[in-house]
Amino acid sequence: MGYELEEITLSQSIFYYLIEHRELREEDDLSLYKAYTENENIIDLVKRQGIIAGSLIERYGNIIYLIPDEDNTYLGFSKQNLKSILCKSTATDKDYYLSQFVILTLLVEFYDGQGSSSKSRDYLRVGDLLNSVSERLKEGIEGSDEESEDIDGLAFSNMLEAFEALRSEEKGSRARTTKEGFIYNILKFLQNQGLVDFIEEDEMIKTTKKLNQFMDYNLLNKKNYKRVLKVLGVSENE
Amino acid sequence: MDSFLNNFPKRMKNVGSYAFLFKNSMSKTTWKQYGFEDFYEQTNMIFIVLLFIMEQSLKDEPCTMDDIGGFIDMVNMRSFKKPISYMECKELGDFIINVILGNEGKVMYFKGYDFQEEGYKDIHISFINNKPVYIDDEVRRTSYYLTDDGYNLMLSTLEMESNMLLTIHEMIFKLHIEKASYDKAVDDIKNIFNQMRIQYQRIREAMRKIKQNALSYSVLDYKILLEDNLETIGDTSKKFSGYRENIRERVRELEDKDINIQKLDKEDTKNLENLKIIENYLSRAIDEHQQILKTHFELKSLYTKELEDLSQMTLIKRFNLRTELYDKVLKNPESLRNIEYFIRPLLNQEVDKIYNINKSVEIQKPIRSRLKDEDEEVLEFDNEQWQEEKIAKQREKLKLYNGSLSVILAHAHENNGISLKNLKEGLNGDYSQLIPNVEIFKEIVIELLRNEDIDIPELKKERSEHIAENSALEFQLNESILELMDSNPYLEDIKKISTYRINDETTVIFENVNSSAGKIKRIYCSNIYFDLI
Repeated sequence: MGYELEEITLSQSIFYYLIEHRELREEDDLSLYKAYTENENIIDLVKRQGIIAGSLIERYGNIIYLIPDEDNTYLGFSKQNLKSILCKSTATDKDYYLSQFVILTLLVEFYDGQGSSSKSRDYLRVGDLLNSVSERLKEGIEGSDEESEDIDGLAFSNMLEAFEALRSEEKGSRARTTKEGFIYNILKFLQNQGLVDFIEEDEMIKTTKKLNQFMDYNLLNKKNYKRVLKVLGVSENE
Repeated sequence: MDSFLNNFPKRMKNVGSYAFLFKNSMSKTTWKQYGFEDFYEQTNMIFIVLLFIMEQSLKDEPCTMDDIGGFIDMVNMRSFKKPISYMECKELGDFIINVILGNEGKVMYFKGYDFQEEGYKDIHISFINNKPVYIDDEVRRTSYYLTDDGYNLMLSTLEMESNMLLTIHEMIFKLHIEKASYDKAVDDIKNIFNQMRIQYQRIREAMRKIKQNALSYSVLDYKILLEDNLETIGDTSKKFSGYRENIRERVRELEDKDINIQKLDKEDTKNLENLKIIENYLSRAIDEHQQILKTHFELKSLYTKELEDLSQMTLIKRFNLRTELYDKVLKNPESLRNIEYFIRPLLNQEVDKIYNINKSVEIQKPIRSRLKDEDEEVLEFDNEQWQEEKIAKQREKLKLYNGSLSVILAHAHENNGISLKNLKEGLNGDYSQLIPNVEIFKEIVIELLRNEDIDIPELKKERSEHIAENSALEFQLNESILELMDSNPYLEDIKKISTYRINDETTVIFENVNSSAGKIKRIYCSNIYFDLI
């Protein structure tokens, strides 16, 4: 199939724009957005470039996103990168897994819906998130199998210890050694990633359109269920 | 099927609003902490707060937790007289907003029986929503506003169908004009204007909802809104222009009289004033009408577009996050080892930068003006000027803060402690320095109350230990106090400043003070004592 030179140039511009901004909004660059949505060839070219760059190019609503593949650690995050951003420098693996658990809990709190969208609540207060995390950790301790407890210290009891070891302080503390600070740091990170709106003053967490769309279209899409299987360590037989 | 059951779900929506409100409020012990023992007291309070939010929504002004707390404090001070502090009022506001009205963030569904489909149907109910706003372009806060359901609930407390409201108010307005009772007509026209505002905000709220998730916005809602719009737009513009002409005519008559007979009696002057107010509101109503017309079309195209985009999404089959992943992780923590695999598509990493060696031979530019290096690469050439202007503005504002604080300190010092009431009397009606505007005064008093006791030697010690950057341009109570003490030697002997409420139930009223928005306000304060040691 032949492509026009103009189409190739446009697709390259779009791809570079995506590398730079990670998303292309209709209102930010109308001409590029139109070029993408109105020309099948360009969509095809940009998606191909995406595959080469180990990413997926998808349009959700009126925004085109660049989504790094799960194992793309150049455009996406590796475990080490994530750890250094989410935890204090002396953090152990326990702390890191705890941070992952916090993010997962946040997602579950927000996206437990079964309707046409998975979104199930409008907002969450930081305090509620904190409570939810420690409750779930306790639940985890009760529910998890005894045998898996000791391997490398990856057990809920250890995480709960790490969590409870963080000091709890009145509002205002941002030190990573307090529960609030630990959560703030994670929320700040998610906010920088454009996933949540976090208003410190009111301890208010709201999800962004981007996160809503990613959850509905991508993360919870049955097509991507293999990710869950991989996380759970179940081998695929499909 | 019996036809009287046809509109049952619609009725249930209205009833559901009340049901949820009471369900969320009843048997909550939190109320008792604040002295609201009986359910009628609690119910009254909920609706007072709802009305306040409606008022703020109508004015398009932000409504943060502080505003709500302050309002409750004011109402309590003036009317309920419960022994609760400002902070407690704020907590009470938080409870009402988040637990009762917000259902702790969880979406509310009321099940109403649908006799056409023979089954219970989920009816979505929400009273308030919130959005981030910037206060004074600096602080990000959550601002609450009424949703469509919220407006309906509040309007239904006055027993009128929303789509009839305009017509009814209009009729009353006409009657009043004909009877020449202009003072009442002023209220009517204000009501009409408010109705139009509500309609306009409804459209905007609908657009916001659609943008967020078009599916959560039902076709029925859309239909009702469009019909309401059309009705509002209908012939109002023509009618209002007609009224305006009519009113102008009467104003002219009165004014002619004024010139000819030199003097109008008192009543006519009053009428003239009222007529001018009416004319003003009518003009605004016509503007509002234009806005509604414009947004009406925007709404239509937005909804069509979003639905088109969404038609593909409904086809997606999704799994349940909780049962498929979360519960399993809870059973087996080992899975957390790879959990980031699931989350990673959400995250993007900054790409490494490459250093271009040519940069080293570029002409060096001073980077003095770059105080904040965040959002400011654009408009390089008047960056510095802008920065300076901003700083100057901040300094100006800080001066007002210090001015107000110095009045409090000076009077307290003179009298060895002073109550707000006496301070007011001591000022003989000139509050311009004490209250440059309501917001500044409020912030200072709240800061003082929050700190309760301020230990000056302690502060000084703290200051000597930390080399403070001199760039703090925001109001910091401690710094301002020290600064004032430095520049006013007679204040030097203050060791401690204590601020507390006097529970003598007196209310101190300041009239004719400015708000930052330039409006003249009257403020009610509880009596406070500023004590110096």
